[in-house]
Amino acid sequence: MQRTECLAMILAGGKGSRLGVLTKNVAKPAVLFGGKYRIIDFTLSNCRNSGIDTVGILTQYQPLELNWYIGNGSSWDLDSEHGGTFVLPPYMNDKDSSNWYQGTADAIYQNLNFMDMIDPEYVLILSGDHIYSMDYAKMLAFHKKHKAKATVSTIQVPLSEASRFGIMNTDSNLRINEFEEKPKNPKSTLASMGIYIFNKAVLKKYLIEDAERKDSEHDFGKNVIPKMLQDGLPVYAYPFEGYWKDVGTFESLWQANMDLLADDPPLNLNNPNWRIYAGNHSFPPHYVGPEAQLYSSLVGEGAAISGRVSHSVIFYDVVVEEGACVTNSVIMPGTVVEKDAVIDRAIIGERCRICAGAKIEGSGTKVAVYGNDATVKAEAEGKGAK
Amino acid sequence: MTDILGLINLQCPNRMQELNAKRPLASEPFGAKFRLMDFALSNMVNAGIDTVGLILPFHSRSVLDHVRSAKEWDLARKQHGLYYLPMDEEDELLNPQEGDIYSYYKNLRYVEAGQCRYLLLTGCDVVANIDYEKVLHFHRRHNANITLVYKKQEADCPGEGYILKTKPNGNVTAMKKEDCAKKGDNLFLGSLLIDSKLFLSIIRRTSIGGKWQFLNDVLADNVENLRIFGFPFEGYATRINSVNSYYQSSMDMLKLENWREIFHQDHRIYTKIKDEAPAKYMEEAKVTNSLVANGCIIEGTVENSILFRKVRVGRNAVIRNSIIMQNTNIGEDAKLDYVICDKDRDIQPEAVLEGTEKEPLCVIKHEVR
Repeated sequence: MQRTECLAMILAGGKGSRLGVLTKNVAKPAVLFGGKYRIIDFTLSNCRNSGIDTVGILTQYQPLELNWYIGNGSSWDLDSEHGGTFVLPPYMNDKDSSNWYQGTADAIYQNLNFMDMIDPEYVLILSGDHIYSMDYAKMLAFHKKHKAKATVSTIQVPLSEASRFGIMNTDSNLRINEFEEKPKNPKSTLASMGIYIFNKAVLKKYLIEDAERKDSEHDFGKNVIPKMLQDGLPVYAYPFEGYWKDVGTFESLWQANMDLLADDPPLNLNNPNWRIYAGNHSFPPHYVGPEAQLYSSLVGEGAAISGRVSHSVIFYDVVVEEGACVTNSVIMPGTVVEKDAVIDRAIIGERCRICAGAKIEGSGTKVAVYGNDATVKAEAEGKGAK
Repeated sequence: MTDILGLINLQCPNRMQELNAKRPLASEPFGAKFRLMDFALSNMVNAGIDTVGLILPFHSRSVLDHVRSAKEWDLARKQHGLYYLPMDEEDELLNPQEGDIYSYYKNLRYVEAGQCRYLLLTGCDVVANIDYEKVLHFHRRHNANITLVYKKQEADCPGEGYILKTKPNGNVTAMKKEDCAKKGDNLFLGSLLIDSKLFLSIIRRTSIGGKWQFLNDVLADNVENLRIFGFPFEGYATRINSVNSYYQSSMDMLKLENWREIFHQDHRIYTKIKDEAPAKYMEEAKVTNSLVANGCIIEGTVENSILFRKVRVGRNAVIRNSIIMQNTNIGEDAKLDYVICDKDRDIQPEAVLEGTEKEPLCVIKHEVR
């Protein structure tokens, strides 16, 4: 059988604690985005569009909905006979009792058997938490061209935000000579995106070493990459340019949704050469009523819009009744906004009922947020993030 | 699981030549996203039928491209699933409109191998969300040989069709071809449930006896000899047999209750997945009383219209009372009223296209404007 050249391993076990009620029952990669998608769709679509056909997805926190959603990967065309999609939860092995994944490197370490089974030349480590379009094939070509043992995908960030990231210093050939995780005084603005390509044999060696170190946090950015640099291995920084968002908070999730409403959005969902694939729900085209007002918005399938919607992202199967007014908001699937309800600057979860006459408003920079299955009555005013 | 074998005859004559002379009726886009064959296929699948045969029309490329492995209908199975029943080369000399019995005779092997007690035979010219499990219960309760699904007409409905006369218990006493179904008539909807063994024996017998039309020459002529019952379907149902009926039926989908009944209930209608992004409404968009599919980007005004997937409406364009099929660009400042625009068209900026409600203007493929 044809050998898999590059295996993608997607870290999808993140809890996304700062997303509060939105990640109460689902892992962060399963959080809904953009009227149709879940966050992990972007990474999975990138894999498919980059020609990667074998994907391992490491789940841990609240995996049920994510596992159901991923299924056999067919929604992303990742169910080929040769490759396939493998959901990898923590499991008991012969070494000791079952282990939760202790860090990014430990998660991959615990799946060394899987990596040996696929036996690729290269391993691409990805996060399921990010919203972006990226051709991993270009990064792999860069990795091969520089004869690197490891390549870190990087993006320029504002200096003011640099201390939130892993920051690198490189020579003129983009070879990394220093990697600092979340430095207090960043020396550059070249930030790690948490995306790595390793030669599989090298990765395996370093993961085994790292696993034995008691003082390690078993993290790629904090431990594995610095150790490789210390040993003088050729580690390179791949310069990515484009839209890339880690939507860790209500405000950043809301903002990333609003970014899609621009005339020429930085993230193109309509690129015929770079489709964003997602699970399908067999809803019909959406219905717009005779009295509807609808502009500067995205609307998904199966929605029925009879009220006023502007500057908003409306997911599939949402109902906005006559006289209701939705502005600057994200409304997730199955939610009904009843007559004369008003929603401004909010994220409303799935299957909520916003009763007739109810009013929900974010305040200042705060976005009002309701989790799944909430009922909001007319007298209860939205009180910001819950 | 069910004991019904599905058989869909896609060789329905297409009487919408003005719109697309070559496209079989089965592939005609409908409802902003679907094709007519989706209704027959989805209704079968929703009744638990796991084996469906498609008798292909002569020009079958669009059907094959749409259905492919039938995964979207959950019919890509290791056992059972979807069977394409193509015509052979020599059959192309035959005119299927002369009779369907020959097509069934050619595919008897499919019915035999299906080993189901019942056969559900339908065409592809009806838009309805029919629960065939109810039809099966009806069929069994009446110990019928054949059950015909009909709809009592709420208004006159032009176009050839079979009108059923029934006794109060549902027994069909007469079946007659008419040019126009009148208000109150029981119009046969082209779906029938029949005991498979009876079907096999009828087709074997008639194929050598010079009989050609199953409905006319077998059923209508033998109403008294067979236990034929009529199942009254009470939901929304419409037949597409002219540009006019296509247009009116499409506009019916703009009523919220019809849209919900046909598309948005427990039994869904499935179609080919295209992975388009949600529809995007720009700052200047003004859209009312319309159906809008994914992949659309709208900058203009849209009223009482149906936009299929990936339609772009340019700035200041005004579309009224129109049906715009997939992947069509409407240029800036264009004005369309009562237009049916075929897919993959480019309507130039400032173009003015006008039809009337009775005679919508058809903008067909390969026509340059």
